[in-house]
Amino acid sequence: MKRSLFVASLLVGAPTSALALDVAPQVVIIDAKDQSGALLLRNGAASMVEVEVDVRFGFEVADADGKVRAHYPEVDVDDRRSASSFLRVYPRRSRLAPGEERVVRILARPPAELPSGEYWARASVRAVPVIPPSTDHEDRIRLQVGVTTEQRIPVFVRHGRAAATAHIQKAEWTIERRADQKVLAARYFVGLEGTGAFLGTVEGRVVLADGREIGVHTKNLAVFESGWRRIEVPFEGDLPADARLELSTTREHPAVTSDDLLPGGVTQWSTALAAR
Amino acid sequence: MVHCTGRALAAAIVVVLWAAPAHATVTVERNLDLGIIPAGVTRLVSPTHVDAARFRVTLDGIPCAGGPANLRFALLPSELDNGLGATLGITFGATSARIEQESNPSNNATFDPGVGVNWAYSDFPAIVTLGASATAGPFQTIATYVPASLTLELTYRHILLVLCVLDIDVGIATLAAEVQAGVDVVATNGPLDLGMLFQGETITVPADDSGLRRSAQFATTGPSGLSWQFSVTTTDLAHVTQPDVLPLMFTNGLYGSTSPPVTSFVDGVVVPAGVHGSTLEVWLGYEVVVPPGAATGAYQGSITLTVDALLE
Repeated sequence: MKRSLFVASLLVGAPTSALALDVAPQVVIIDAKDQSGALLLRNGAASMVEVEVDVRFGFEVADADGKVRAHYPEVDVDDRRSASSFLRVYPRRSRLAPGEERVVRILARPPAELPSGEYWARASVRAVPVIPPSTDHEDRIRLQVGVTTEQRIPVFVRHGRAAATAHIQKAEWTIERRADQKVLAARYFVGLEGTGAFLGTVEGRVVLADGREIGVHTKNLAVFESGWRRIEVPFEGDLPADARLELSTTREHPAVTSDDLLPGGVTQWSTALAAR
Repeated sequence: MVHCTGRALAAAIVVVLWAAPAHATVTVERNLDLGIIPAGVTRLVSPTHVDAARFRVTLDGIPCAGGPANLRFALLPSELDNGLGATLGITFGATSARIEQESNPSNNATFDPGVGVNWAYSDFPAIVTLGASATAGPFQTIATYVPASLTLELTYRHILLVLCVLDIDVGIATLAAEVQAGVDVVATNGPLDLGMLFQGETITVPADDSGLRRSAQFATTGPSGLSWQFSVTTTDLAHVTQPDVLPLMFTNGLYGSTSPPVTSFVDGVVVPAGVHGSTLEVWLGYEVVVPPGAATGAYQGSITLTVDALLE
């Protein structure tokens, strides 16, 4: 019992300074003219931090249920969409004092024979706190756990002409009741046409035969390859037999400016909900 | 009516020709660049910063006696716009501007750019620099803000045909900024020092921080338009001087917009855009088993929260 109390009194972790790393922007787009992008890193903590920046091939994919996640292929040398082989980061490692900022350059040197199109990678910014090793452990065991963060953001390299259009081709749906609300949960297939990723939004609307809208929902849409997506549209009242689901894409995305969007078309797709 | 002889007139012309009229030149050597400002961040560029505007001011010839030159910024923008209606506020303070004698930089002064400064004729050429401050709000429109003009005005007196004339010369620089949203991850409790242990103990720290030891806590901040994907990795705790290692295992996590958060996850969770707004808390629980024969001394390892920014 005495030993337990003794241990407990020693186990309360001593407060140590936190780690805070701001990374901007949230998307890096490198065009053929500049052939470089920049990350601004800022140490917002009160202690020194070691930062390591790297790039690797990765993009967003969705599973059969339309759930999106970041995907990092193990081997990317043969993937024609990968930018990682011709991207360089400088400096890759640095130490940032409290409040210090550092610009990290991502340089693109695409080979001359590279076909026109958009190429992808993801930048990883790993922040590791500097922990001085404890020396007052005497004959016991002292554990020090570093709390590390890794932030990953998408990198796009545009080489020559690139375009992207997302075509909504089919959809399946169910009506679900959640709390006091009805939701049309749709799974739709979106096909990608072009030489880049489509970034934009998708809007789902539930409309009646007279054009009256009884439900609408808008969400981001990022299509790196054709696949299924999900959207949930809350609606009011009952769903009459003449109701329709309308899905449409727009070329607007909150993370990038309109100038940074690839050229391409938008699509509209609709179906009678009773026709399922 | 002034009468003068031909000899006197010739002498006056000779004096004027000998005493070349003073003239000033204001050269813009560098524009003011506030650079990339992450949303939610204030960017301060001091007048000694490499991104401050820089003017070189020369005053040649014979100026009039009776007073120094005055330098002030006659045109200072209060905001930049992106050309589409969004604006970014710019402020200048009492020490935003600085002047120094080019040949003797230790002769310098800071001044309020809107008020100006008097500078002795003998201390030209001079270097004038100007900084500024800009704050991008947390929901500041992401854009490149169109450069705006700022004007350094130099007022001085000089001799023109034996008359003392007040003259003004100007130099026009520009001020530009770019706002970008960022992804911020804060480890709110920093490195965890678990204190001293005995061999044979097992430490289990739940994500809800109910134990004596602290769970790893993070806050992630970014625009609400992005989704987040969390994943957790650990490295074993390695003895700082010996080859012994102790496994560090992630057990469970919580995330949400409350503190403590309530939604649990094991690994690889994706939080869709708009579900929790722009700030999330993430708490991680872990476990360490110290075998009976473990070497005594200090061990170090890490628990890493990876946050993938997703565009959908």
